[in-house]
Amino acid sequence: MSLPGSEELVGAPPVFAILCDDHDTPLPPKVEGARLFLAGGLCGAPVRIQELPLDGGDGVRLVLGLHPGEFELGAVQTALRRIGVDPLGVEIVDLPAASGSADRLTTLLAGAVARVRRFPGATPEETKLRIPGAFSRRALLRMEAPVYIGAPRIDPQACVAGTGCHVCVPACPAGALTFASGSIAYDKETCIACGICVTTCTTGAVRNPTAVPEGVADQIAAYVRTSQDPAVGVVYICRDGAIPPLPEGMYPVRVPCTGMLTVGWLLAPLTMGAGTVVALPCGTVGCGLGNEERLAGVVGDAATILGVVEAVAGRVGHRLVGPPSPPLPDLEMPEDAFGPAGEAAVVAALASSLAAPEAEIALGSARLGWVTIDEAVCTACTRCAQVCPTDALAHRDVDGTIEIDFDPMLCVACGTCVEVCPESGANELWRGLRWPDLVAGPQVLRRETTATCEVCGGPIAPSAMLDRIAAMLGDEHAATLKLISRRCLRCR
Amino acid sequence: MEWHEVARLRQGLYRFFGAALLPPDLERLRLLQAAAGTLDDMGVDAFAFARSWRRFTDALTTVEDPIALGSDYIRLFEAGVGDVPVPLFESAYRADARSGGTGALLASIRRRYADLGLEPDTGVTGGIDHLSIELETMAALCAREAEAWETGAEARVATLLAQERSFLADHPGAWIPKVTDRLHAMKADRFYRALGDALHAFTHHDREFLAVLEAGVGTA
Repeated sequence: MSLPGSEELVGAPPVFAILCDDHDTPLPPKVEGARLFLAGGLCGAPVRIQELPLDGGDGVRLVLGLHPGEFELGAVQTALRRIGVDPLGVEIVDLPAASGSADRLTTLLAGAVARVRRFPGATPEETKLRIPGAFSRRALLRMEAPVYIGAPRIDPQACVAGTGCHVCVPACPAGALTFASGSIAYDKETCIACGICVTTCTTGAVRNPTAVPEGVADQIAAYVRTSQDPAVGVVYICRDGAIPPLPEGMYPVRVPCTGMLTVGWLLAPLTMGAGTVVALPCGTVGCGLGNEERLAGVVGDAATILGVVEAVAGRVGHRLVGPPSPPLPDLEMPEDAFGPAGEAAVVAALASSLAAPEAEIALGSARLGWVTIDEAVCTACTRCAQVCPTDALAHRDVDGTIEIDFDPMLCVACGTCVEVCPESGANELWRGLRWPDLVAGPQVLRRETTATCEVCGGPIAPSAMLDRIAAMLGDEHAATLKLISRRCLRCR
Repeated sequence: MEWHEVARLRQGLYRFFGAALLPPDLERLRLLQAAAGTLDDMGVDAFAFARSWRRFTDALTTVEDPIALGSDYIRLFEAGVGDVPVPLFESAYRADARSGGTGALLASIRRRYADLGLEPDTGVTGGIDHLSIELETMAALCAREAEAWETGAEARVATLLAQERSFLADHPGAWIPKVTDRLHAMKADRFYRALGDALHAFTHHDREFLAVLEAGVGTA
């Protein structure tokens, strides 16, 4: 099995792993893909990083092994900036999470190294400020070192809001996104940087430098590749949540908020050799924005899909129950599994390798959909295909016949096609999974002849559209109708 | 770091950037180099813009040819038979003919200074909407904020934070990104490209910082 991240990244910046060697944590003699340094007292005095010979210039990447509760994140970030390192590109490994095992720590570090190698850099717009602690009388006297987190940024070149897509807007739990005049406006002050917009975007136009899909994939792949455990599991944990004691073989993956996880992100690790995936909700903190409910829906859908394809739903959940299950056999991670249309590909990979029953299951949270077109209503204007952000719907002209094709592997159930249809009710989106149609390839949903001009022979409009116009005009406008249905614009 | 120290640091940074955008004679460069060291010592590294800041101060401390730098200044900010490649005046970017053009904009800026109790000296810059003067205005507001923190006048702190936030958003913060974009488009040399990036990073951060601080002071 070929795992992402196992190849050398061309031109990748040098990575250093720096571990606090206080206490009795058994430390590994080397770290895959990084130069290792040990530094006593690093947690209490992160400025000690300056004493290390970290040659590598501006693009250097770091993995820090620190003891939770013994360091201040703001102070660590300050020390990193002092040596010219962007703190957002640094992974911090909780040393107690290694549970006293050098092998386990080796795996954790390999995962962190793989992830930081994918850090793309962060612009000022992608950095969000937090001043620790609530403002109190005491806080008014003194500022604690600020902490920065990654914030999303929309790539205007990749965003397709111009065609009507705005699925990110209702998905944002903080109301930081608005849609107007064919573009998305982003309010950084309102944003909580939860990452939901990143995984909701239909084209991958929203990026958060601390939640890069390739980085997450590489981290998981490194865990699977490096671990000496009989089975490996993945635990998604919120950026702000403490890492609880994890069962043997379970490894943490930090995300801005587990509310951002999709069914694809939950199932993709299973195609990479992980046997179990757990997504922990915020726990005691709670965001109050409904992200836990969102996560529960996604976990439920993932478990349902697994139940269908494997009759074992316990591989995905939102609580820790024990060591991971053995890996599923003969699976290969599909390309772009963590990308916008990765969900269908991951499900198809699972289904093709396991006994997939013929089934149709409705799913409320999965980004899987099935579009139908009512021929009695549709005028074949093809607007739906023109705006489809993932090209799941596509139209073409075949010898004077308009065809609208649908590829369920590309559908992310965004509903834009339904929203833009001028003929109310012509398009319907069913959210869920249909076997074996998902892997059957593109299907023709609509076929309609094109009326041709009696003078030049060129196309006029779809016949169904002319029929609709005729019905609207009635007999009173027979002459007009005759003209527009027999001649093209140029020849009228 | 205490809050008045943060305000002093921000005051220093605004003054520093304002001066860095003036013609680069030898004396000014020497003063900027000394000021950069002082600001570093005041705790720039605690903030996210520190990396952009450091790239600029690296360029500042390694200026090899001040005359070439002066030529680049003229090429970017002053020269041109027609348009100046990278104007340092707000009116070049934001004057809107539908709402009175440059005259109306300058009048509104002058009113804004008067509301803040400030009267700009345009002797060096030649215009009240020069970026250096707008940054100097922010520095003056930060100085008042520092004094308010030092005297424990929390209500005055809140007022000043609101003034800073509003002036920054309405004036320099609204057009600095365009200056930065033009510096990149004009292929400015390392010094001015790094200066544009550092100024953008700092002012972008300061808008966010002021919002967080103002909200915090309001609820404390």
